Amino acid sequence: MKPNDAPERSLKPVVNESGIEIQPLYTAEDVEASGGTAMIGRPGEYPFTRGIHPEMYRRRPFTMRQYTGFGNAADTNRRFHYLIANGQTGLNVAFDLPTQCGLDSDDPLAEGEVGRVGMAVDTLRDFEIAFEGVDLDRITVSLTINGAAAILIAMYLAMAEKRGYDIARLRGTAQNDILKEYIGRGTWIFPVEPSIRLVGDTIEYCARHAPKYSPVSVCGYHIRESGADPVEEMAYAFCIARAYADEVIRRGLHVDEFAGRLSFNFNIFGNLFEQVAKFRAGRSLWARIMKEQYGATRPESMWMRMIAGGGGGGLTFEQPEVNIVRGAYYALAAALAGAQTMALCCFDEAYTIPSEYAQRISLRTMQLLIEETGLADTVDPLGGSYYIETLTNQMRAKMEKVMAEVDAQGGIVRLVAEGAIQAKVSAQAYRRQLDIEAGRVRKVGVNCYRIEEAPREIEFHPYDEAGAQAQIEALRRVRAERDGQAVARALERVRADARAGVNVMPAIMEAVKAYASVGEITRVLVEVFGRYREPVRF
Amino acid sequence: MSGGRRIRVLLAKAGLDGHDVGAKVVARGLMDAGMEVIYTGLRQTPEAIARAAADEDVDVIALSSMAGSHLPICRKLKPLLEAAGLADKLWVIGGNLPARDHEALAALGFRGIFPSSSRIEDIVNFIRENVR
Repeated sequence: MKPNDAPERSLKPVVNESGIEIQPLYTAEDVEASGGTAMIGRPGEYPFTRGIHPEMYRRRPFTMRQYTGFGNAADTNRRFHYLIANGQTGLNVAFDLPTQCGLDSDDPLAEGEVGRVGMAVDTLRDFEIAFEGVDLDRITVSLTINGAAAILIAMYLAMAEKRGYDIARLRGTAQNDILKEYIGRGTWIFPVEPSIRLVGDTIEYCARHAPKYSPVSVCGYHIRESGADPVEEMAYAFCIARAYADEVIRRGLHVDEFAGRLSFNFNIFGNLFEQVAKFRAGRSLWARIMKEQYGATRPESMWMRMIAGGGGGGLTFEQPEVNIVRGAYYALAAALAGAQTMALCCFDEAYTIPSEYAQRISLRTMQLLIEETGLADTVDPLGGSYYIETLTNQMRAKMEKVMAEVDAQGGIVRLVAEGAIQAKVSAQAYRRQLDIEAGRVRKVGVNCYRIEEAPREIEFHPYDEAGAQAQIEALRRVRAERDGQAVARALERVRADARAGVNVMPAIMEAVKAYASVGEITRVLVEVFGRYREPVRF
Repeated sequence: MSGGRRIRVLLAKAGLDGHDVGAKVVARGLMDAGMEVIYTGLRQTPEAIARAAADEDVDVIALSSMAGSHLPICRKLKPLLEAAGLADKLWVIGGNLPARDHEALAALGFRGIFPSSSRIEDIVNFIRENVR
């Protein structure tokens, strides 16, 4: 038999991470069979599959917002200015673990952790230093803070107010998504119910006093990092966003009074087409939920505004410079999907806090998409592709199914409180690890194309012991200089309002303005709310 | 090891580090390899870890550290484990552990050091071969 006469081998089936079998070719029939073209629409119009704005990046490119923070406020301020000088258009603040857990820098539990993985913040003074010289109208700031979010949002608003900004017009974002902290990331402080109440307090307060500020960025991101597939990432995030919306609506607000300032944070590693379809599907599903289930009438209330970024779960320890290339493809996916904001994990981030050099490469990666590749020229360039439209329909249907399952099992709040979501995604993370170790999921440099490497020439970010001590001394100076009676009065009001079940934000605003510390305010809230006990399930 | 009982492992997350994906993956891997795993959950103090290790009568004390504070934590943990009579147990650590810190971790008594990208199989084999 001549080689050309060999019988054709059948193709190996391909199934994407969301469990959808991928065909070697897509045609108009596939789009029709998956649900048709009714949900495509036009960008800027319901159901927003193609984008939330009619002209997208032609009008304004995505905001570039690298995650940054370390040491004390002055160290971080210097890095902020470096990034801004290099063309970054937003800031995304990393806080150290004591701050994230509501501990002051001089707390015994903070020892060895002050300023280590992010910026140390104790009082308003630190925020004044951190944002010195940053034009808060031009550069919007995102605070990656959750358990202690109510306090840090108050600090940000107080800092801006002190500098003369009108907080009624101030833009910015806080992550402030506590439910996902229980699933992954782990910087919870209070039990589930009072934590949701605090999220509600921040949304309600901002709706009334800082209506341009985005008090919550609901994160599928970390749920995906914890083992969720792309469909679950979106579905769980939407369930969580609904839980916060329900909390605020219970207080008598109409959905259109706050939903326009809800935002999202999603992940971008994995199959490029699957990610693009995920975001297009998610955008139309969220719009439908807000319109049909919540009766939203303003388009903004239906927008799935998002930061799409990171990609940490896809990056590798092996051959770290190859992560630069991975980051470029991930950024491409985010841009093709119409992200409002982007951030990329840096190539050295599996090892250390990124160097300036690594941060600049990530920034240039995003800038290059805008400047050199034509990505900003036209809206939703993959729209109309038989493959993308079919996948978008299929993924939307799967997201709806996962959300219905969550509801049938008692809702997201209960499933998270019981640790059920945690157990499910961690089982999936384990299976994925086994798949990688067995070579069933291919990772370049990890289970194929490996090389024996000399120890890496990674520039490690040093831990600054002296800086940690200086932070403690600075906190003590603030404590000595502030009006102690004003602090005591404000903390008493926080306690009273927390007990009375009224919105604690006005009291927290008063406390931070009196230079009460993150730890002091947290302690008062813990006295009233108690501490979270983790249901250890995996 | 004596008595042929299953190897018992205390797997702990110390300090404020909230990244537990890897710890849970390793916990499952050890369980699939037939070991008993007591996972502490997040935010354990060195004191709590030493107490749990003694109470649970484990053969292996395993730490997971992703947030860079492994050296200060291990420095605090070492005397506590010794005081609890656990010096002869197998101490291992995994996570984001730069190569330059491995010597210091070994000097603190951690015989197994498994930086990010370690394989589950290698961790299992190391524990099997080194539990006394």
